[in-house]
Amino acid sequence: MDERVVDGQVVTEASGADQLPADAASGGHRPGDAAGQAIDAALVEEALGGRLEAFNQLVERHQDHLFALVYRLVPDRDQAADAVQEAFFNAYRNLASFRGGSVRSWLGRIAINAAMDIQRARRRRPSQPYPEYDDDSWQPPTEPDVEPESKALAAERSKVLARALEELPADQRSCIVLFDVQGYGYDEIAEIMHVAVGTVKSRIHRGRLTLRRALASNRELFRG
Amino acid sequence: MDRSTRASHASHDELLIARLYGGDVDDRERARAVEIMADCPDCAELFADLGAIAEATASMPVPARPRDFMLTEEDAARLRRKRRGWQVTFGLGLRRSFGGSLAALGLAGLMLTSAASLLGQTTSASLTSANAPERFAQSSGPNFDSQGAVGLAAASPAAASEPAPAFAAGVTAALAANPAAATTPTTDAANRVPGDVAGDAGGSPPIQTETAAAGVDPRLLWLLGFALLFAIGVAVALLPQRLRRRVRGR
Repeated sequence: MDERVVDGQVVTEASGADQLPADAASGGHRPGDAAGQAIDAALVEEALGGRLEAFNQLVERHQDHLFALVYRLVPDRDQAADAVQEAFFNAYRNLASFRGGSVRSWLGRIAINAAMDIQRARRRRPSQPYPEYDDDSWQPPTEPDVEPESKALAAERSKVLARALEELPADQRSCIVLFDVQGYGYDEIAEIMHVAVGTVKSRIHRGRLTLRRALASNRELFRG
Repeated sequence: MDRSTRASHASHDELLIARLYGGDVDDRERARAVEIMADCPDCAELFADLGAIAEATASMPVPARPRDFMLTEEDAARLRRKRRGWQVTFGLGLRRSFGGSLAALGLAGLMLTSAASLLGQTTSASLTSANAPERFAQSSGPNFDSQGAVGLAAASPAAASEPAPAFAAGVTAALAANPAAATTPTTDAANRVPGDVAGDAGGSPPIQTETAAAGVDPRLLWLLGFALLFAIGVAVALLPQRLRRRVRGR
């Protein structure tokens, strides 16, 4: 590693740093979404008019990403599902309070609040985080043509990463999950978390550093 | 890696490298971070690790969603009921607060007015300055100079209808300058109010004319007003919702 770095790779890496990851450089915003937002807004309007089907279409559009988001914050599938269901209940109950903007962010905020409630309950009744990773019968979904060795490596990496994420302070974990996993932008996260954009950035940077320290003994899993 | 390199890395700002990875640096900071990484393999390693970790985090598998989260008609009906229940609760709280405030205001007014009456103070004078003469003549009588002021007020409505300070100052002067005035009833028609049948008929003493012109004691009016306010407040706060609906015919 030293040699590779000393051999000019550092400079290359440094130059590579100029070409930052697309997500990072763009503030993490993934495509999505002018058209998607327009559809969401129309569905909200219809749901406000009393059409349950319109609200269920919103559910259908967002349930996967909300479950993925909440699952990263509440690492238990059943509890995460409960939190997502509660989030949709809350969204329906408070549909009239939606003031425009991104429905995705609004639902994300509601889901995070629901996840926080579950986390508080978990603190009172601690349970095994990510039980799936300790269940041999459960295998993370992978590409069909992936080598078994790579599969095992990916599973192990996910397991240690999940545990490291669990160790992060809740605010840093939320920001990392929203940014790195869900692809929300800094502005959206700031809106969701009710904090300044600078605070979001700081939490993400510090969270990544904390993750790296937590993964110090397993660093080889993440290299090459 | 030699010891001096390690030692120098300890003094490097890891957060700056993390910020560089996150694209959260200005040009000067970027140049500084790149310079540090060129000289410090540990910092370069940190940068690479942050990238690997972020990538691994983004690609963490998520178990399949265990169920569908769509709402059933029953869910929707239950949530709508809950919302109505919450609104009713909030509305009831608001009404109770409002009614309680009204009742408290009324009670405070009642107490203040009563206290002013009991102490013989002229608290209500500030509220009814326009009616001060009548009130002074009628209500402050017992505290007034017992050497004829009451009699003057009774016998001389014209004097009693002067503004209070003038009246107070003028009582003694009037008695001194023209004792007859104190005993001479004024029957001037100009002092009568329209509709003063008794006065017009000339069969009643002038004091009756004056009392009718002055109307009710303003302090009593204030008392009644505050009592009404108190009663309304209590009703708003305590009247059951169902009864209110019945009263409104709904």
